[in-house]
Amino acid sequence: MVTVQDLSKSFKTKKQMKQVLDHISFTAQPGNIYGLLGPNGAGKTTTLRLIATLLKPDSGTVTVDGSDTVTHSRAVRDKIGLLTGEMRLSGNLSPRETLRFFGQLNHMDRKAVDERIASLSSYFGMDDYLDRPIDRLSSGMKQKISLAVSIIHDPKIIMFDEPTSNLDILAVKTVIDFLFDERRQGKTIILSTHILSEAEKLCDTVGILLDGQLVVQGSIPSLLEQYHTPRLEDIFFELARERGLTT
Amino acid sequence: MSILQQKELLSDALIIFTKEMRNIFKDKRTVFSLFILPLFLIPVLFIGIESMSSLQQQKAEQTRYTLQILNNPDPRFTDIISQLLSWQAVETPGEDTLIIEFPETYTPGVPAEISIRYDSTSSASSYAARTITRAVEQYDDVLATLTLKASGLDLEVLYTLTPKLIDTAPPQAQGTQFLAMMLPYLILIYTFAGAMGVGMDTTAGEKERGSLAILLVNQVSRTSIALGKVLFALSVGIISSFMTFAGMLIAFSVTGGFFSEQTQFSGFSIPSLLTLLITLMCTSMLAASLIVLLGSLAKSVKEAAGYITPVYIIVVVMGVLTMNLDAATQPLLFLIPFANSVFLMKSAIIGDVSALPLVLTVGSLSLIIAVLITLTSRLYNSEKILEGAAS
Ligand SMILES: Nc1ncnc2c1ncn2[C@@H]1O[C@H](COP(=O)(O)OP(=O)(O)O)[C@@H](O)[C@H]1O
Ligand SMILES: [Mg+2]
Repeated sequence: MVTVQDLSKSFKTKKQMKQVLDHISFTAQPGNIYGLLGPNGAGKTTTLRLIATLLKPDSGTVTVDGSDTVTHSRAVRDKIGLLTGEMRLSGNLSPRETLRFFGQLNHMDRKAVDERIASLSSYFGMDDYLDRPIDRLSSGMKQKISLAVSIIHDPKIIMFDEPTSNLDILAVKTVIDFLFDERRQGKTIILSTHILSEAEKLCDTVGILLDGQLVVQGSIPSLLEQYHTPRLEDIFFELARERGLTT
Repeated sequence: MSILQQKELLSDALIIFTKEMRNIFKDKRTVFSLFILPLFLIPVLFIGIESMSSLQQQKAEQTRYTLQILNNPDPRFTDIISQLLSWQAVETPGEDTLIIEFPETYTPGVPAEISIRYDSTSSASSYAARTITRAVEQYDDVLATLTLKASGLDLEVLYTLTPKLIDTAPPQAQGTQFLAMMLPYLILIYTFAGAMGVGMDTTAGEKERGSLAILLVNQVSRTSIALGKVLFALSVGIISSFMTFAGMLIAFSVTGGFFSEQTQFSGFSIPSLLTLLITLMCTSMLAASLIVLLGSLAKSVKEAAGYITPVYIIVVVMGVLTMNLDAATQPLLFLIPFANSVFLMKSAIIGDVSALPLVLTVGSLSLIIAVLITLTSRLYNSEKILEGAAS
């Protein structure tokens, strides 16, 4: 479970401070996919980075399975796996070597890593190319390795920033199947996206982030009912219009 | 920090280091260009330069030159030229014609200026001009002899002194001028170039590929990650600078020293060799830690190249500027990064090693390297490192 409470964050840009997140609060439950929706620059990546202990909050707190991200950042990192759709693996190492490397970074012992690699490899069907240099693999194969890399330590919480950006349609299917399987296993999943149809298909709960504010959140069916519309898109554009972000 | 934590810091840094090194050594092309190429590129370069210059010399000697000699009243002068140079006279000067002009009213024995027009951009023309200058001097001797004879004297009585050059440099240093000039320069360039590619890739490249954030979300501290990356870049720098050094040594044993007639390069003494190796280490460590810091500040490889290239150019220019300088006698010069390495390498090659310059260089470079590594590790520990990193 991830609990975000009254979280604010600003960045110093040339001379002025820019408020990127403005007192946002939400909870992501186990066995549930929480979608952070918002246009580019809304603050989605920043939110995920705050949860991942990569950034420190200005105010507010984030707890991951009971551990505070500031005071117990190491414990938090042990529980989460972070993925981004933008990640491009490259290099001459094989998937196996790459996975072992990330296993080491997570302080797993060699035996545990190798067992985990075997199970991930059979899950993603990577056995055929597990020992080939990554640079010679197709983008779909690389995507599977990226997924495997971020969950090498079998985290309870999976965060995925723009999971399907830059992906071909076959890789998208791999990602979606993977997320549903993880949800079935009771993992807490948070993903960010600016593609509303994707959110509709994948998420149980969504929060709409506009200009650093979480303007509405709830389960998709309840939101659709509340706004009397069959499509998430309509809610999104109405909210954006109210804030003068679109016409 | 407890000893246990320090141990973990280091062993974690080694995880990063090992992975990066493996990645490099798996790529045959990178291994070749960083580590193997200098071993024979430099010898080939040397052999090329040497044969080129001896070829040019040969060509200059064999060329038949066209000369226009104006106002020359004395056939003895043209005879002297003929002994030194193959030539023919022309009435109207062509492009390659050298023009030798005596004053219109010239009478042998009267002081006068003789102008020789040549083209300094042509090595053949320059060679001819030098030879003609020699001919003029010889002709002057002939005239002097005649003048003296007229008063019953011999030219030989005027020449009471005969200079004889004796090289007092230690036998090892003899003929090392060229090595002393070129080696530090080449090493500086190669070290920088070697560390630059990998240093930018492991920092700015990591951001560009969107994998930096993933690298930071695990049990390894950011300090370890920074250290691992610095360690990696500086190891590559050290290896490629050692290979450059080895390439130079091979070049010297293949060509028998440079410009072989006076040069017989006979190897380095132990102190010289040690000084060279220590300097190489320090220089490549400095280059690598500087590159990693600048690369980490950049958001993309392109931006990193924008930061690092000017530094590289400054270093190269410094190499060129100091190429002809003698090893510094001013101890303070050994506090200037990169220049100190050049001076130190030079004096080591010449065989003139002493403790103070070495201590000053190693001391000041260690300090700078420590500062650079600390800054890099600070940067990795700050939120700034993710600024502009893809997702
Ligand atoms: N390190 C940073 N320094 C300054 N501004 C930043 C930094 N990171 C993000 N921002 C700004 O914060 C805003 C939100 O960014 P981000 O969280 O990446 O949005 P999203 O992922 O929703 O597109 C953007 O305007 C971005 O320019
Ligand atoms: Mg984003």
